[in-house]
Amino acid sequence: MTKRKTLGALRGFAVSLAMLFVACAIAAPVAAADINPETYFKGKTINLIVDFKPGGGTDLHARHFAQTWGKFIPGNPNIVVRNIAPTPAGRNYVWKSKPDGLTISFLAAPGVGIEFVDKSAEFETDKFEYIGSHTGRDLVLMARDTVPYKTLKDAKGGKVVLTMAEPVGRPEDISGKTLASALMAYWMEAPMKILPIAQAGTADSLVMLERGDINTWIGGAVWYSITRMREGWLKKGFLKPIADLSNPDIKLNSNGETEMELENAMNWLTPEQKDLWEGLVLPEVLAGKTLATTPKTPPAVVNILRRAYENAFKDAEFAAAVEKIQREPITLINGEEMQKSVVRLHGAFKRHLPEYQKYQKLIYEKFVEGK
Amino acid sequence: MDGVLAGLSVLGTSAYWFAFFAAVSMAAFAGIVPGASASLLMALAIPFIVFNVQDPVIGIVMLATITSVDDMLDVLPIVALGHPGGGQVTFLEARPLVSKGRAARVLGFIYMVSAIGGLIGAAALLLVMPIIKPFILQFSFAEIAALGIFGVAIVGALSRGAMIKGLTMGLAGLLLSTVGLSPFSGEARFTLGLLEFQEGLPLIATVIGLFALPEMIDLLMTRSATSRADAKLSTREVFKGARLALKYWKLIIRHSILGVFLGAIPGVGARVVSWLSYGIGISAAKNRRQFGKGSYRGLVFSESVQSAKEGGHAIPTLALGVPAGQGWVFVLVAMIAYGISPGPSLLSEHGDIVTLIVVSLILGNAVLAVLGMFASGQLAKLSRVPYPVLGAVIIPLSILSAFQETQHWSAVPIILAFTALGLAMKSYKWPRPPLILGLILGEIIEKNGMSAISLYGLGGTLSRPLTIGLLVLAVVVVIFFIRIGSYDKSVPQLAGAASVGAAAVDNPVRKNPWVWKTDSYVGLLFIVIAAAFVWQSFDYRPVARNFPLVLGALIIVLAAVQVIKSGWERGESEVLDIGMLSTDMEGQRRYAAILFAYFVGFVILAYVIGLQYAAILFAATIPAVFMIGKRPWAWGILTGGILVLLVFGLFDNLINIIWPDSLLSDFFNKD
Repeated sequence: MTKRKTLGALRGFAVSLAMLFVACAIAAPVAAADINPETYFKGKTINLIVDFKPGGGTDLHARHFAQTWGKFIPGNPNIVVRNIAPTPAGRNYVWKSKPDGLTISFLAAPGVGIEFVDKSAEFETDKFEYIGSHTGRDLVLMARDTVPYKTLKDAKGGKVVLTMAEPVGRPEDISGKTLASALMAYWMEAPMKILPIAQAGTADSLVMLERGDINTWIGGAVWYSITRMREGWLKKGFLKPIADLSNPDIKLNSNGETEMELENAMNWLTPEQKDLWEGLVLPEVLAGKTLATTPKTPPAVVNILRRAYENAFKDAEFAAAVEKIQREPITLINGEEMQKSVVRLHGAFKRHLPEYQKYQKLIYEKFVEGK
Repeated sequence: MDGVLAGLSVLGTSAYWFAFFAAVSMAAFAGIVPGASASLLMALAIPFIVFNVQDPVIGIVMLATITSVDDMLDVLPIVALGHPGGGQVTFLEARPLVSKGRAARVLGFIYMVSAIGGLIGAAALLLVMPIIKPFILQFSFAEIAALGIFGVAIVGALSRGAMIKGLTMGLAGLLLSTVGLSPFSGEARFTLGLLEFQEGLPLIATVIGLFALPEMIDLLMTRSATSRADAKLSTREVFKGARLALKYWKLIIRHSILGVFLGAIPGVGARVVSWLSYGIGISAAKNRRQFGKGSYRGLVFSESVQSAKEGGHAIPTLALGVPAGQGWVFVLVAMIAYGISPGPSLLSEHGDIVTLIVVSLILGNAVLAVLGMFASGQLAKLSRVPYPVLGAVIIPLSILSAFQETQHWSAVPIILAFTALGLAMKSYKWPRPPLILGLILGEIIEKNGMSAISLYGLGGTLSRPLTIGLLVLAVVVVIFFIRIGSYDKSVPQLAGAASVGAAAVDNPVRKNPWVWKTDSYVGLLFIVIAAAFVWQSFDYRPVARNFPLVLGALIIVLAAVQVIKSGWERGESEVLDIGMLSTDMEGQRRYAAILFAYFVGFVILAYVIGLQYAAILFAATIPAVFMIGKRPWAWGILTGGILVLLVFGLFDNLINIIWPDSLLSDFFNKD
């Protein structure tokens, strides 16, 4: 073949390739627009990705979803749970998956802005497509009967030190529920001591409370289940709530032993503190169990999943089963609202990141090191 | 009393018996099939049970039954398939007996021991539950850490003539356990920057690599069956074994009570109890030389606690809501989902649940023991199947099980690296049990020790009576074994290095010139590893640095002492581990080279066509290469077919595993 012919062949190949790209570019939106909600998921398998190993509460919850949610999605797709631990490996996987709605994170909580503080997070939380959330993320600071304060506010200048044990070996570990409780204690000028321990589960913390190693405990998502884990503790006054640090938009109901009589602690704050609270704490307590799929999934597909999610919770039997498994009332936030809230709080977190680090250091020095 | 009667009345319902036999079948499946653990099956079954079994009593008891009896049939893979699984202690004693042709007798013996252990565990649950709370509350972080230290000391010290080797390996296990996020500072230690290592070295992959695969490779290299051709493998032999067990009734009761005690301590972990019981049992034995070479007493130490610990695990789970074992976490999750509170009031308010758990524990153990005894005469005959056939299935299946734990490619290099280390240790008589125990206990010791110091201060921690007692006991045990070392050396020399079990005793002759010994290469390797850890640890904050730094320094000193000491010694030191069987086999080097090439090929194929397909090919072709006898290809079709069933049936459809990407899958999944 001559050089000229070769060049001609190459040019022809390049033109064909360009035409193919143009065809694909034109076809893609058409394909997206052509998604038929009735048939899109038919015969397909949706993967619910759980960030934990099999057997925990979130895994159990996800497996229930896998068994029952499919019938609310047009085409009744097969749904399977796949476990990819440790956190946030599962979300990294969903982030990199094909944006076809067939890979969905089943999250214990949306963890808005986690990528700012966890180097192993390879995603941006505000870019996921949220399908919805159905539990609140209650955060209640509780104290033993040996603590004389009725609320955290009353502790100002008090002599009894609120003693907690949390996995805080360095300032960066002051996050989530520990940051919320310590920040509120800091602003309320309450005496507090945080004893650094290794990772301890709820069961360990409850034993420490019982043994008297600590007198204060911040339970994440346990307001409704504590009555099952330690029946009678709240009723008999062995333990009492002293601050409701939950999302102020979600009212905590009676947990069967006691009413949540405290006003939301955000009401105790000054406007400046409230602004900071929105950036530093609300991203953590926005919601509990949440479903989100890969960014750039076609809106039509996301819409199918969002409507299926809402419809599932309109079904009394489905909702009752979910309540049974989570032992708390359903707090439904639909996908569109969730998306907006995540974007708003993500922005607030990003804006307040310098203060976040400042308060981490400050709290660590004051409450952990006792300076 | 009403609760007890209500519980007993449930025994008259068909729903109970259906649930009971379903649970026992699941436990049996988990026990027999390598790769299917009871924890995994329970995790998969919980949603089904919680939403489909309306009666909470039945649902909870069903889960409790699965976890209570799942260890019962663990012994089958050990005896019939040469796969140690989670029962390394049992393997240590059962393996030599199997090679002597006692497979059927061992099975009968173990079933009887386990059944009695289960019975004692169940009785303890009923008797102790109402009064146990103060005892459990006494066991704080400090006591659990001290118990961990006691465990490492006792197992490290068991390597009689080679105590330095034992202690070095115990410390090395502790050091390797520091890989991952520091429990205190959250810093990623020794993770090579990989997210997959943040939770530490994957335990299943590490233990399979260190212990299981070297045993299976060794058996494969012998190219023969695990049992002798003239082995008596009948049901009659199984019952003989069961009768033999009854002669050890005092020992069984003693160690079952120990099992209940250890099982009832939250945070100690199921994997540790056998080792602790074994160590304590050997310490109290008159003739210590019998262990590691096929001792029925050793089997009692291991198996009685395994069954009895379940009753122990149930106690804090039900009485305090503090689960003491993985399976009991699921029971607790189900209780909460059903709206039933654990706690001291459970006995008065839901006595039916406690009663039924006790009854099911006894019945489950009894049913599996009887079933096992009747089936074992036939199942033991698997030990006569040439190992190239069994290994062709079990080896790739073990690798897939390790992958299933991590769901990441890193499992493959980890398992292979630890296999190489395990083979080197086995060949050069560096004991693996203390390394494994250290690996398991490391996190327990560091987490609990540091937490205790934070909560009570160093002085407060060391002034707790129970903590002092356990630490003193650890020191006493080490001193005791050092002192009896001289007594042991007076015992006549044992069989040669090629025999299963321990090798020859120490025979230091100081007048000989110092020579470099081949086993010192392993010591040198651990010096290098420890030095690397020490070097790296300076990058961490003190709270994350101190534990690995101290351990690394101690290992360097002890391993160096051992290298120097071994240069003066003639003969070989005796360690508590299983020696190489295939060392003197004909064509050993050739088959070792072929097997090495096989593993290299396996890794390459796994990367190119996918892990699951490489495993199937491994299974299908091994018999053709390693089998002595007729129609190896026919066996290859069978073994390959079994793996196809397991890959697509168990891993794909039941566990829903995500296989790692391969070049082939990347090619087909391209847009």
